[in-house]
Amino acid sequence: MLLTPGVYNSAYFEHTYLARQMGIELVEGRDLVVHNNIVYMRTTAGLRRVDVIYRRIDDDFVDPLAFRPDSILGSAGLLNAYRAGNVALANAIGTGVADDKALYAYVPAIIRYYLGEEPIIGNVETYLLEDAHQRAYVLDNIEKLVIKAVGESGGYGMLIGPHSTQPQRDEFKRAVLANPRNYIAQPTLSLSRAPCFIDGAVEPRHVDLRPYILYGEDIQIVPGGLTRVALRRGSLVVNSSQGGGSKDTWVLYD
Amino acid sequence: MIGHDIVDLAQLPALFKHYFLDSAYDEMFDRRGQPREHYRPLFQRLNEFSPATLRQRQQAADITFLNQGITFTVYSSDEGTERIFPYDLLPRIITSDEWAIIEKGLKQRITALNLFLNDIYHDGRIFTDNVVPRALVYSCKHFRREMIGLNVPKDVYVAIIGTDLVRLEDGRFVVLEDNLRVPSGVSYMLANRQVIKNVFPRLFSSYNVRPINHYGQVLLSTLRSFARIHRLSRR
Repeated sequence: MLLTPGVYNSAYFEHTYLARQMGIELVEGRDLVVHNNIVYMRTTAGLRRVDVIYRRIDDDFVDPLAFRPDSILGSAGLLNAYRAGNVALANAIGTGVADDKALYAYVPAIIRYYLGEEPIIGNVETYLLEDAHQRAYVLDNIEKLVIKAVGESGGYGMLIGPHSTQPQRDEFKRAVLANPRNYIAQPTLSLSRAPCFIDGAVEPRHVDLRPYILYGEDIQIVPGGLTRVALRRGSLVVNSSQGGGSKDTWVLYD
Repeated sequence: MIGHDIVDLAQLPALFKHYFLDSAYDEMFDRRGQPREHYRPLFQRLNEFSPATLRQRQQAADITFLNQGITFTVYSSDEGTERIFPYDLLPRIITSDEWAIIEKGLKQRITALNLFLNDIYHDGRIFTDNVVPRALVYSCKHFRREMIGLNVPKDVYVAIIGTDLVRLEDGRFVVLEDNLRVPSGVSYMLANRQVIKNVFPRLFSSYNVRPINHYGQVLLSTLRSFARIHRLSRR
């Protein structure tokens, strides 16, 4: 089943779409009940045991007994049922530690350490602001760099140096100095551009690519993914929450 | 920023009158302003369409998105929160060779990150071998003490991932962000394909495009692989 935070979530359309595609139930936290460490779904025909939950709710909200007590999105007792091995969650709890933006700088080393291989796809150069030398360089060159808060996503908590104003830069400098562990910096990237149909003409716009990877019996990647487009002229931000759009992505056969 | 080597753009059809090239990698045109081989059929087809036809196709696409209710929510906006997902009509095309590298690279990266998660919530070998500082991991906002010592089905922590790649000036793809929590957007990938097949049926069939519409089934079998009957093999 797919566990959604509900209609007010920005991705609710997607939750309904995927549940329909898979033919599985779409539920909210209040539709679940945990009894003796077993998760059940309330149905009109009584309780039905749940084995696997594709949860589209952040860790913090999945179980008010374990994490945020004010959460009404999850289900009380879910974490204990999970710990008892009676229900599987996809993704597991606590995976966000591996996409922390400060940890990102270590991923090439992580690949070499576990696999003994060189990374096939590289990283963007990343400055860790906890390090005094790197911090000094970043603060001196802030107008050329991008500063990101490590715990944020969706283009929030970000300063794009070349497109920033002095007050914005000063604000980020203060924030960095107050909590350096919370920020990283990267060079301003020149993302590739793809042709877009805009106001009756074809114009180039910056794009990225988000392939979707599934890991069960083995790892499978559906060819392509979501190409996100910074539709505003000159913009580098492709996030849909920040004026970005998307385009279809074609991967060709040989 | 515009170099002298791209004057050819002036000879492009009127549809491309606002097009420009600079140091950024252009997916469609090479440095000399020639369409790359895999973009040539799209380029030719676009030049056969009249602007009016293209506008009609755009409207057809817009209406499909609207009718299907493909929207997303923007918080803290003055213009209302529910919006049609902005969509661009022209496909982005990736060659088989480019994809082979992306696929291999992502599998490698996800395998390593999954082993990393298993390690930090169990023995922490990577800390004792001084590859990653323990303090860095334990101070992460998303580190969960509750997971220490817990075995997850099949030792798979990250089942559903959406990694953000960007392409640099030299044409290389690099990873910008690993999204290992609750990545979104896959429904737009599927919806985009449905719409473009309807809007450009002939163009689509002239290209040999790999299908994506089995995503839902692969997702379902991924989820099923974690079900109880399979979990009997847990450590």
